Amino acid sequence: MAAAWRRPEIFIFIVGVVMGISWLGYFFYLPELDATVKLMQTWAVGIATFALVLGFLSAARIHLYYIRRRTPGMWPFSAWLFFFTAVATIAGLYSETTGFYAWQFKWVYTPLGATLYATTGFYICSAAYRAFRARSLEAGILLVAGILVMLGNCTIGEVLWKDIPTINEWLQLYGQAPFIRSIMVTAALGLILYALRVMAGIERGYLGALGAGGGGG
Amino acid sequence: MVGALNLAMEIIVQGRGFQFVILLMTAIFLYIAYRLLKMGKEIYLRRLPAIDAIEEAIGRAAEMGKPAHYTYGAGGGWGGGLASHQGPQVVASSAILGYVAQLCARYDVRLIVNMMQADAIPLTEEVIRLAYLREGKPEKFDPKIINYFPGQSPMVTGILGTFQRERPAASFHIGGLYYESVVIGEAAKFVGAFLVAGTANTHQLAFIVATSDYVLIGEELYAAAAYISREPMQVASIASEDWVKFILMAITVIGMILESAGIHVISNMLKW
Repeated sequence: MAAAWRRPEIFIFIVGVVMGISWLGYFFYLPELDATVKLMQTWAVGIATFALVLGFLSAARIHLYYIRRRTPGMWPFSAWLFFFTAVATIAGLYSETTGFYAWQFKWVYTPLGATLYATTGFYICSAAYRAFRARSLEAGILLVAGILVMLGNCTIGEVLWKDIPTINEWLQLYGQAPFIRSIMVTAALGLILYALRVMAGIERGYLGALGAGGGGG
Repeated sequence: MVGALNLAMEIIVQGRGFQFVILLMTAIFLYIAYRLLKMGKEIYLRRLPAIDAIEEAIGRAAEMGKPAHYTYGAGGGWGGGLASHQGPQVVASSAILGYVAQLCARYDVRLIVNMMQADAIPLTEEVIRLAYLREGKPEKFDPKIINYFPGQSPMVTGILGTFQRERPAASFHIGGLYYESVVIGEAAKFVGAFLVAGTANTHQLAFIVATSDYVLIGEELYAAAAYISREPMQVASIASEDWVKFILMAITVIGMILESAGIHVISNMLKW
């Protein structure tokens, strides 16, 4: 009996019903359904919150392993993780908006995150260098378009040639936007089909059921 | 029938009528495509080079004796988690992860997964565990290959560290990618990893195209599981999607012509 409750079909059925109700609530004015849809959305938030505990337990399992084995180069950081998690939890329980918790968030976590985000610029330069090497006609066109857009976004572009901002605008509005929109439309269609497949229990790849052979042709 | 249609017309939310018609049409086409397949009709499925390249990437890792790395990116890792609008990309990506894990198990390649979607951890564990089971090597699965990071910047830092320490021969960045797409994409290139990336986030497409060897663009991410499994119903769904695409293209062209002529039938239909 216990095994029957672990069958994926039961969960697929529950998910299908929940998705069906959500879709009905999205497309139709049904006051009787509104409360149910809102309740399900609240459940989703609740489940997501519980998932954070799950995330910590998963991380704890790995880091406890490193500490137990004294894995070189890893265990001191793992120990630090547990120490700081305990400190942040105690400080957060005391007050979220003042004291040590707010201080470390504002002066340690946020600047570190911003620093890492700032490095993106260097990685973009490096990626652009590789992408812009004119090895083929397509790469050559990309290179010319890229230079024009870059110049169009700098003040020097207009100084060099007054029409560069116009070309930049044209490239972004009529060169780029239609392709991006077509990708967005097809991605949305793909998503609809994916949702239909999940709802009907056809799509089971996320349950680890891809077929024994695997591999595309 | 007419009564039900009238009722539907009355209670449908303004502006969502056309979306509902598309949804219904998609479901009907899905059924038709499935019936055609069952009757023995061949449905052409175009190649997805990025999926075909996965085996090559894992084979390369096996030859070099190095691990393979997989991440979903940051999408679905905050806010509503898997229930957010980025969630489906993570779920779709988990099916590809299953395929990657299966190949890793087959060729004895160590797999490392870095992720920040707390609610997707059980899903990820189960997908990988079943992949090892399919290859008859359940004992080789170690849940500790899944590293959880509680934020985007910690995850990016963690992946950069993984690349420096482990030097993976292949890396897969598939899911709701944000700024990490270019950072970890370039970092993967620095360590010489074969890179396959995919996302439906259009703002990151340029970066994955610039950094990756193979890419899954937009809908290809959702179609990947169907492409790998080749199950008739899944293949039918891809075919039906293409049919809807043709109809939408026709509506677009007719709409352009009619709007230019001052006839607003199509634009009014879209607003219904």
